[in-house]
Amino acid sequence: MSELKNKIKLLIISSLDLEDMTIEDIENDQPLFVDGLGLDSIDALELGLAIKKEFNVKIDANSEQTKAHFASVDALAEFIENNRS
Amino acid sequence: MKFVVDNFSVWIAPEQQISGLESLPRRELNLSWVAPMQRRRLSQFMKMALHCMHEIEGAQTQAINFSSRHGDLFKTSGLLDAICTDDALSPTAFGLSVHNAALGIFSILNNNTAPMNAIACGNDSIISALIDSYARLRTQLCEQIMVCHADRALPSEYLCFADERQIDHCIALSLQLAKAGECYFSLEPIDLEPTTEPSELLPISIQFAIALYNKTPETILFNNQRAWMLTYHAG
Repeated sequence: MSELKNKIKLLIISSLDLEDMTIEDIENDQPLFVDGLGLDSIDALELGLAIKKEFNVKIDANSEQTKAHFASVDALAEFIENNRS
Repeated sequence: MKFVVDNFSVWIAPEQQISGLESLPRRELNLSWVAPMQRRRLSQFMKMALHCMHEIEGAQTQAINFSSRHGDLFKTSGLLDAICTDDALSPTAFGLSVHNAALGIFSILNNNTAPMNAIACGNDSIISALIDSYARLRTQLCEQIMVCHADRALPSEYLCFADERQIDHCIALSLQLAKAGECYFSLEPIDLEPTTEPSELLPISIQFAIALYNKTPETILFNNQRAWMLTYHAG
């Protein structure tokens, strides 16, 4: 699981152009949006696309649960682990 | 068409040597005033435009006319490549590829809610922006207006369509109507059959920048279709 979390962090950094960051700068349980890492709604779309491509998971943009899956690296890892095809 | 240029900023890619702009200070683009989380999304095209507009924006926000012949073509061609290879389009690249994206970002960063307009008119784009700006000043829609023009050298796959020199450049200037006793520029269309080879023809925006920078008394601005006389009238 920690390997997956590091992969997710690297994907966040590369797909969102967070050039000055390293995986050590992102905590597993840190909120990704607004007050935490400070990502915004465009980042959410970009990250959703990158995760779909990298891990071949389906993301339902209309689902209420999607927001919870994107809350932190921990939540994303759990979601990917449970939905990878 | 008579107008006063209060202030202007020119940025040319440092590796380019332009006759008439040899003494123009070669500077790095300054985006230090943009928060890092916003800066990370900016393309070279946007950085050029924001750098020059920021240098002109004074204490008072002003209306802006933005022009570009090709817009952020590297971004657009990247999107077209993705479509051709059946890749998903990047939402960020898509959102920032529209012609007024640089203006939109600038207005958000500066909390500038003044009217803004984005123009594309082939190799006459900056002239169209100047005419539109003059019309806004003459009809008293505003007392002052910024014109910003940016273009990049074409991506390699489009170079076969080039009809002028390919240079990354941006110019921004603040315009007002001329008042009695002030130095001003006038711009009038003239009849001229251009004979310059495309490989030697500078974009009109750069010809205009050279004339502004040097306050040249008379300059013929021309492309392969039309020509204008730009005259500087010292007060």
